[in-house]
Amino acid sequence: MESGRRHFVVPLLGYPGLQLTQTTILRALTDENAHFETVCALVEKFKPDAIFYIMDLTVEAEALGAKINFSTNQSPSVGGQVISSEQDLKNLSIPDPGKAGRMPLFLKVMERMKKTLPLPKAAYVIGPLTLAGEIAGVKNLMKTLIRSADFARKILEFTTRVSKTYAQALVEAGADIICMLEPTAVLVSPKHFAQCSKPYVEEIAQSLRAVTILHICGNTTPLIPEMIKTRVHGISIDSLVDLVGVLSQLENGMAVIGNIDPMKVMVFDSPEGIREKVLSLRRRASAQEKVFSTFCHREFSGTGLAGENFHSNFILSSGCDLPPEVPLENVAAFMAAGREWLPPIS
Amino acid sequence: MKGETQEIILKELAEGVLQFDEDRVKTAAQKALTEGLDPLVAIQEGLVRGMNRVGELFQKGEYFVPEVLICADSLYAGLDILKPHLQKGEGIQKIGKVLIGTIEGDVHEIGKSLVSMMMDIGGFSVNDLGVDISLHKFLSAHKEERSDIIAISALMSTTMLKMPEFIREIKKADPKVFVMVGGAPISRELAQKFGADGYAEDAQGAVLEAKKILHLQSHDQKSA
Repeated sequence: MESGRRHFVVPLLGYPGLQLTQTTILRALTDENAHFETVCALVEKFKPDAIFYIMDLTVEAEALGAKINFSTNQSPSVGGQVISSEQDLKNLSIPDPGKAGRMPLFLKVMERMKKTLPLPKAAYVIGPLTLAGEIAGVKNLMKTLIRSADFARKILEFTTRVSKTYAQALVEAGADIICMLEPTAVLVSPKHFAQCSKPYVEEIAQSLRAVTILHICGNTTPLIPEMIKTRVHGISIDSLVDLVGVLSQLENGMAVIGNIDPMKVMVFDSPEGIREKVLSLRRRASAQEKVFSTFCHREFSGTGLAGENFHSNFILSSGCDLPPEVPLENVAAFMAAGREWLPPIS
Repeated sequence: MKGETQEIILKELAEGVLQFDEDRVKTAAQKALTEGLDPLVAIQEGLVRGMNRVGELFQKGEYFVPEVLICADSLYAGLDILKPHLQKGEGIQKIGKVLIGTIEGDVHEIGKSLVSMMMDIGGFSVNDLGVDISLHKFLSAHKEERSDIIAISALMSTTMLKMPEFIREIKKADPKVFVMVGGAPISRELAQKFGADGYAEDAQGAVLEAKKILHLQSHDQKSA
């Protein structure tokens, strides 16, 4: 058999799969069958080393009573804040994942993924700071972080419990990996991140019997040291961040996930261009990559997909969620370039 | 009034904004009035100078969004005190008109609001349409009152892909208007590909870019 080095290849698929099942964003996010079939079609077509279900940043806010704007071919968005005072916050209770909003839909999709798909299955939950922004309004929350740290803390303690409860239910339903999406964190200073996101992300991660990933979109370079302190298993970075630089900072047993540009490269480049960029990133990563932690190794092994000789703590992915318009041949080129064997490190 | 006192007040206004100390700004603004300082000078040489410094710190990665928002609140607290005392017809000289909004399907407000605010402080007359703005809304607002620049924000890759169509249709309706785009998934390269006239990575950059674009415009008109 071939030998040398391989990397795990786990692009943030999802939306491009809608082309395979000829369905819409709206349908995939509101219909269990459409969602599940899209995920299965992606696995069959691209055979990634792990599969995420389709991203939706509004599930938790919806379960808390926020109005959600749905449209046929756009990601849903939160339509307005649900709290503006401490009293409003007190009136909210932790949603029951078995009943609230579309949480049951995502749990059912995960249960079916567990039954059917022989590879690690990943679910998204929203990060505490991001959920806080959704229910309090991002602008208000940003000001509250400075003006009323105490109220901010109360909101964050609440959103942490919401995300934790939902994440635990997803793990019970069969998720091997929980990826926390914390995009709002890119707006704040490392100091605020350390106070307002890091401890809560860490608390959620520590409560889960699953591999944990923290994803923040955009240029998170200043936040990387604090992201590492969350003790998640993997930090997922966007295309603006220097991946090799992050690898060099990682603690033992942590992985970095990223970071091919989802637009500039995945939508607009050619399959040849994508191959070049993927191979270049993999070669550059060689300088700093290490053996992956045993915990994650266990999750990924036995899938028949993992490399035999070397488990790197660099997991090849897209920098962010892939948009529906990504040409499928580009995804195929990305997967193939991720699968090419690189010579062993001498 | 002694030049020395004036300098101290202006510095207090600028520092108050920079340190996002609203009370300090209010006190300095009151003092500017009682000492007979020209309110326009107090605004431009005090408050706006402080906010420009905030923009610089934001670009350098020393200030982040929460700090910038609170600094802006301090600035506006000072403006509330000083503005009523401006001479009639006297105001901050407006150097151009900007129509701004976040693109249809996208409700991300922060980046767009920062640009809108810095444009306003930077001397532009800004019509901020808000978030989730359809092509039709951009066009009818522009028809109602023509702007020099239309600025479109998108924070999601899905909504960003509507930009080429928006730009094309806007240019069709008014070939002379300049279109600027911005938002996390966009790069200068993509902005050019989409047919935009301008792009900036952040709010401070957007003000500079807008000035650059309009300068080019006046240059073109002169040479034409």
